[in-house]
Amino acid sequence: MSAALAFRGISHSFGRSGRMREVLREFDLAIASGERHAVIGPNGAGKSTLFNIASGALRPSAGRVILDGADITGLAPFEISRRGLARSQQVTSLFTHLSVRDNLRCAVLGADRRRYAFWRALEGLTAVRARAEAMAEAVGLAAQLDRSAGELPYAAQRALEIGVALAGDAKVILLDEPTAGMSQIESRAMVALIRRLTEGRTLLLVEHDMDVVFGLADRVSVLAGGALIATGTPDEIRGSPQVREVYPTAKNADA
Amino acid sequence: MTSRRFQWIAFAVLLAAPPLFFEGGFPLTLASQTGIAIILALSYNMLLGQTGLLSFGHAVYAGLGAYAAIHAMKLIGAGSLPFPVALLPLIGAVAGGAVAVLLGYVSSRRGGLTFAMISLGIGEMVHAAAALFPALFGGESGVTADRAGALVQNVATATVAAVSQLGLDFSSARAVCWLIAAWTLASALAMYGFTRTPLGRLANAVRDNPERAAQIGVDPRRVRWLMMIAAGAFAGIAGSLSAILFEIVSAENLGTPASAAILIAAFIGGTGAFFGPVAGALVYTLMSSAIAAITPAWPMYLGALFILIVLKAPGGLASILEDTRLSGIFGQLGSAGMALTGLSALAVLAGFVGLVESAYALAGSPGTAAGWLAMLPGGRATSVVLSAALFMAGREAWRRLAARRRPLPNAAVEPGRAA
Repeated sequence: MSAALAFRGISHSFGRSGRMREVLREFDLAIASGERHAVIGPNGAGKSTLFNIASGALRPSAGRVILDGADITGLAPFEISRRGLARSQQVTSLFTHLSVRDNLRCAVLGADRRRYAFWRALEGLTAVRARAEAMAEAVGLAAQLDRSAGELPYAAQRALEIGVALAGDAKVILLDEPTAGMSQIESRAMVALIRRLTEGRTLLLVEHDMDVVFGLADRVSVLAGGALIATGTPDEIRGSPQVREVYPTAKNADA
Repeated sequence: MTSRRFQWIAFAVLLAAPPLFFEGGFPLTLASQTGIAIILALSYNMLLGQTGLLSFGHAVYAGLGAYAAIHAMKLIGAGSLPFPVALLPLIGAVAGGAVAVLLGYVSSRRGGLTFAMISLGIGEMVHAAAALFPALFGGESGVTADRAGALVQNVATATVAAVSQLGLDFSSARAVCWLIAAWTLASALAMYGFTRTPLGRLANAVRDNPERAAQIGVDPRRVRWLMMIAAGAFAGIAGSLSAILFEIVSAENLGTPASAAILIAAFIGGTGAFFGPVAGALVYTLMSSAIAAITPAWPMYLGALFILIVLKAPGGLASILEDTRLSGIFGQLGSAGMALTGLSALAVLAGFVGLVESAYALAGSPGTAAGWLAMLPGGRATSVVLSAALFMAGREAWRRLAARRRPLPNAAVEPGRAA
């Protein structure tokens, strides 16, 4: 079986020796190619740490991260990105002084061989521009191409955040709470957007909103206290008494 | 689009005017120095404005470029290097860029405070190292070379001989000013072009958010390094031009004060707009030469201006000029109010200058300006009292006008969530 993204025996601790706090313990998970997988769990369960390890922001204390069959543990974030793993941030993280177009254009360039070119005009790379504008269209920002990212309203910034993550055409997408801070309506629109844009790609999602999780994910993993306590289809997870015990909100999404 | 074109035409005219209308003397020296300062400030802004790197050691690249150029000029003069003097900046560019390859490798890993501190340390180290190798850096007195002597050797080459048939003296201040103007325009155009390349845009991305840049496949370190090399090369061009202009390079050219001057010039002009540093370089050179000719207190005025910009207009002179709200704010005052505001600002300025000049006179180092004050009836005592009164009155008037000038609360969208 070839997983698009796999975690093998990931353990991670913060702090200095003597005062170590274990955030992840022997975490194993394989996400199949094309699967939409959600990780849920109470605050402090280790979800963000997992993302930071996958994207190279953190080096795990033990274990391996395998992307498309290759070991990416300990690679720099930019190297992991070039191998086809993109992520969005929970707290909006954009190039605030650049326009919407340039935010997306940078994201396209980041995955392009010509990224460090200083002998050709940016405007001359018409394919890069076209891709950036197509992505703006896809995330509903076509009318705001020339506005700077820092000036956008919150929901538009979230949409751009997703656009930046997807513009590089990565095969594996990690989204960290894509609907955080959104209203019901905004949240529903975002789910539709994510569903459409991640078609054919592998998606790993951290989310608190159970509507989002059960509406989007093929499979759900529950993380509690740094360990994986259950993995299954949304229905299996909803029905699991073990899950309800550590994560009572899971049952609230029955409707 | 057209406004951008107009700016470039205005810039070119400004560069060409001094050597066109003046034969020599102070205006040409001033213009030549301004050109060099413009290249320095623009190259510095490739780091600060475009990549977000606050460097305290930019003079290292200009200074080492200048040393490379002056040594080359000596060799040309001795007849052992057949190279046109007019192209010496190319040697400086290679030297400045090569030094940045080396030093950039050490200092580009991180941005922010770490980068700033390392650049300061490197500046001090290079300055100290210069004293260790007097053969290369000329010790206390520096390295000198003879521009005219080098040009005599150049005349042997066909093209220069042909041009000199026209009766142009290549060693004249006028010719040097033309040379510097040409290099300034070419460098500025090249640096402007650089902002419109993939690397230039990714430098902005690294400036805004290095972590995110890494997540989209950009190595922030590589971008910082490449930008440092480019900035170092342009600084080397500026250094070479100063070697040609002054025919001397000393360790002073490498030191932290020289680096600070570049930072101040770029920041006063404004790091957010391409032409900002050009304005800053102009203001800086005016102060360090024209104002300096009248008063020894010019660094005080420069420092005061710098602080004022940092506090009141962090976007620099460029942001003041571009601020469209300005007209809106002043519009509420009417023409009388505007005149009063201008007058109150003038009073504050005059009062401040009077106080500083009086202080310099009292401390025993009066300049020409202090001499004018001494002509007042009652002498220094009058000048101090008058200046203080002017300053206070102006400030009070400014404050009252500011209260009326305050714009109406507008319905600007709050950052963050919108309804």
